[in-house]
Amino acid sequence: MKPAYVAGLGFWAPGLDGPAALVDGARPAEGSRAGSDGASEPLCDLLPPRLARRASLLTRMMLEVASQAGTQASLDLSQVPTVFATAHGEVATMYLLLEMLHEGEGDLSPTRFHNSVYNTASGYFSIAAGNRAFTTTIAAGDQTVALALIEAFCLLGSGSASVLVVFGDEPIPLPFLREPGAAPLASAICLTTQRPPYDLGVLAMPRRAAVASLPPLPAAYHSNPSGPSLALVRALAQGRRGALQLAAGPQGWLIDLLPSPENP
Amino acid sequence: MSASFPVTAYSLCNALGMTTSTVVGALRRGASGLRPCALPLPFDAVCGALPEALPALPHALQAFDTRQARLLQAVIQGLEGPLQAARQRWGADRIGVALGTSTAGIAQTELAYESFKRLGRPPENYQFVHQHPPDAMLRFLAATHGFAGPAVVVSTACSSSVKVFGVARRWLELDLCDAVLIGGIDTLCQLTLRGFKSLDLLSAQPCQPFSASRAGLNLGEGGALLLLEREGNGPARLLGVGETSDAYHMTAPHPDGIGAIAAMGDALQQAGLAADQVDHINAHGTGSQLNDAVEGLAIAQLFGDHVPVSATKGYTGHLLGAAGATEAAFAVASIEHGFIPASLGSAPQDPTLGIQISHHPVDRPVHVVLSNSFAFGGNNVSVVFAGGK
Repeated sequence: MKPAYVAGLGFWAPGLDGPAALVDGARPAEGSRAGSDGASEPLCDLLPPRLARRASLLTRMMLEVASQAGTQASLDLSQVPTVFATAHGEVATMYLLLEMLHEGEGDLSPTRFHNSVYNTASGYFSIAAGNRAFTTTIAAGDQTVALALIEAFCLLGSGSASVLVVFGDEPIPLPFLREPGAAPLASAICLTTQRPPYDLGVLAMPRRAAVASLPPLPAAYHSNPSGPSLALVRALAQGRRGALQLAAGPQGWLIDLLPSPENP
Repeated sequence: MSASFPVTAYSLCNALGMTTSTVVGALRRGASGLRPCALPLPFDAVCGALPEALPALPHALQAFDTRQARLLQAVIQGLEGPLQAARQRWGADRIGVALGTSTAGIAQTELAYESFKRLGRPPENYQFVHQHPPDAMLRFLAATHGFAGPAVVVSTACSSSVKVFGVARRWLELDLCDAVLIGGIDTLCQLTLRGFKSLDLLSAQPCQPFSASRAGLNLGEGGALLLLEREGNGPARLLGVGETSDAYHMTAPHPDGIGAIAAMGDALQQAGLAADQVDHINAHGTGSQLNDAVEGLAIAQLFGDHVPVSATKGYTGHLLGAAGATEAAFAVASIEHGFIPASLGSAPQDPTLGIQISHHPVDRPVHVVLSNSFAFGGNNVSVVFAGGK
């Protein structure tokens, strides 16, 4: 499988906006706005307000980072094939539905119900961007980031010129965990077969390896299954080269960050 | 034309029966598995529940204990011989796993939530990461079978377990592995039953896909697993997988069937086949007013009324994340045994559709079958299978 160019990056987490924030931390927050409670919220201006109002944080942050990466790559968002990746999907919406089941007559909100599928962000992206191309949503636990990148490389290997990969996970509701879970985060990487205008490096397809541990992340993100995408976007934004761990274990995954070939 | 790969074996378990032979036998006879729903609900519903209890998991696998995992265990039993042969032929590290689900372990999480509300905590044996998310199935299989190729779950609602055919084909074409275990598993739960009710899509009667009197869908539960290999002998070959989006609405199909037409067209193009070479279409055909109308329109545009169309949700109910793989296996069974299943519940046919519905089971040679799956998010997938080597 041929390596692919990185043409665009996106990142969002509360208080950390855009890939540049991962490098110097001093960049103004462009991808955020203040929510009604004053907390930082993804800008998500791709989604019409009518749809954004009842979309989850997961959906809104995934669409925000998709826009960031697509814009940086000068991509036509209506044409690019997309791979969405989320290990736990719309858990907050699922939890709201469980509360509704338990209360009163147990009636569910139809909007919340259709917004509870794993491919909610994928569906809204397609609708908002007018994109009728291939899209998928995958989950593979702590290997989700690696498997999403593999799917992207397979699409490039099957004739797509570019692929937008979008990762994201939000916190698991507390009743289901014995201790507080990870903070939310979403990131995106645009891969292309042709050298892009702003070339952010080159990635080889993830490869199997015994991996002892993952790259260090801020403690809040340790147990977020999308964490390895944060490490990857940060390494690409920093211009790092070499192998990076995507999934730990005897059957783990590594990805090689390669130098861009010299200009001819 | 793209590369094609043989389906060397398949296994089914759903409302029609607990084993592949009982399921295919009932499908061929035209016998429905739909019954009044036994789950506690504040409304009448018909559903396709499994006809027998699922065996428990062995003690060592208790951490994974969910209805989903028990169903996976039951379905994979029917594939042990072929899986053993594939392992000997290719090696465990060259066998990948690509499964679809929409519900994953949500049925178990519903129980955990009930316990939380009653006792202030989830049950002691409930562990979210082992029992709720889709990848629990992958870790269960890693523990039971030790396949070491790439392993992934696709979760795109009702197209989940047919999109895995696309994943497997790309993995084989690009040499990531030599065999892929693909399929889908979904179980009945309150959240989907009440969710479809809230969308006004659930019928209180057995569903009537493509019928003038159709009044909504029924949900079911079940699993299908298929083995796709680089080479080998099997009942059918996978020739094409068309995957598109509507870019229109989360739950309603594009009124002109744009995405559905494109998915069927892409699948045929990859297969190198013309529409008139298709012998049978297994439609998505849920029994919902709008979806059936648009699918009928899309099929009529590509195939006219020349190809016999069956919807099989009148046998099993809508299996959601397991529907695509189940109906793909039905397509393979049609080719293997030479029959076109009756489209149960389709009479009296909606006269406005302009497609040929197969109202009665027919025994005859079947070479090429196309199967459709459409999903929330406007996600459309069509797969094409053909007999022969």
